[in-house]
Amino acid sequence: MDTAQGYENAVDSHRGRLRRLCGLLLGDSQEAEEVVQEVFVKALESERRQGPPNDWGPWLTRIAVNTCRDRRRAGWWQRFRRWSDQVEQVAIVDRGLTPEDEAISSETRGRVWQAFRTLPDRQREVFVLRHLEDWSGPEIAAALGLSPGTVKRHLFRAVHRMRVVLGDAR
Amino acid sequence: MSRCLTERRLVHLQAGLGNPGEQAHVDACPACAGRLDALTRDLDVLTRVLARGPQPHIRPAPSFRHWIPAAAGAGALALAALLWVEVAVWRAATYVPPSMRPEEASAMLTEVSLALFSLRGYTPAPAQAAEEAADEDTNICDGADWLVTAGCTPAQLAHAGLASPPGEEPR
Repeated sequence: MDTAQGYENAVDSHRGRLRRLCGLLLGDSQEAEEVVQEVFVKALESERRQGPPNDWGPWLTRIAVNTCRDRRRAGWWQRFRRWSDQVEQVAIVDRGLTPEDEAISSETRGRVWQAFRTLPDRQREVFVLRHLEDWSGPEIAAALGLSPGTVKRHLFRAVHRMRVVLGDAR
Repeated sequence: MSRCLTERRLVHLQAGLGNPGEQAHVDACPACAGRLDALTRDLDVLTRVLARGPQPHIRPAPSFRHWIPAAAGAGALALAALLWVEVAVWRAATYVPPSMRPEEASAMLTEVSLALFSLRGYTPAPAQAAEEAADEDTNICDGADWLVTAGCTPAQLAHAGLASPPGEEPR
């Protein structure tokens, strides 16, 4: 498989996953789409300089997480988030609603998202990769460049804070 | 039996980051098993909510007190705009004919005031009265024939060219 073919396959197989990941980390589907485009441009430039990675998945994930973090830390992002919090947003994951989904009240969803947005960057990233991307601890540690102990610490703090909010909503 | 697991240990165990000893404890301890089930249910709710994406937000209607500063500011701006129009635009665009100087207008108004509100009757200022008398003295015999009064002396009439000097035949 040549390099171009590998890149195109990676784009096809990881685009949806990265869009969902960036949507969760940024909380905005349109912004996530822009970030995914940026991620693939960076990946192509990096691949031309250093050659293709051994595993596209963690490599693209690391670029996506870092790009999302850069966006959140930029000053304009804070201002944008304050305004875009008020507008209607489209669901990132398009899947049919189950009875369990319907049973979750609107208030609970609002509280969960509010708590999720207030998580520190690392806690949010670890939580998403573990519980929504279903990555293992070592995979998360490798993708984010963290030690396994640090991953466990971030994961516990994120879960604890989210559960507190969930308990208040009941 | 070992001590029950902390919440931290349960979170790690649920995430697949625990060790076999902790798993064995949960298998043997109904309390920890129940806590692990509760944690799993909570995480299921959290992941369902997050996987659906952000919920639509409804922009809240701003309360009345939020309009007060905006209304006050708008009023102040409108007042400032009116003043500016009056001072800078209206006066610059309006032509005032130079018919009367300010001191003349002031003097006229003073005369009118004295004439209207004087209790003992209006009398012109002395300087003006003398000037008017001088005008009368010089002009009374200086007009056309039909304006000449009977008080004019022949010399005055002759000076005005209305009569022959004494000793000459009248024209």
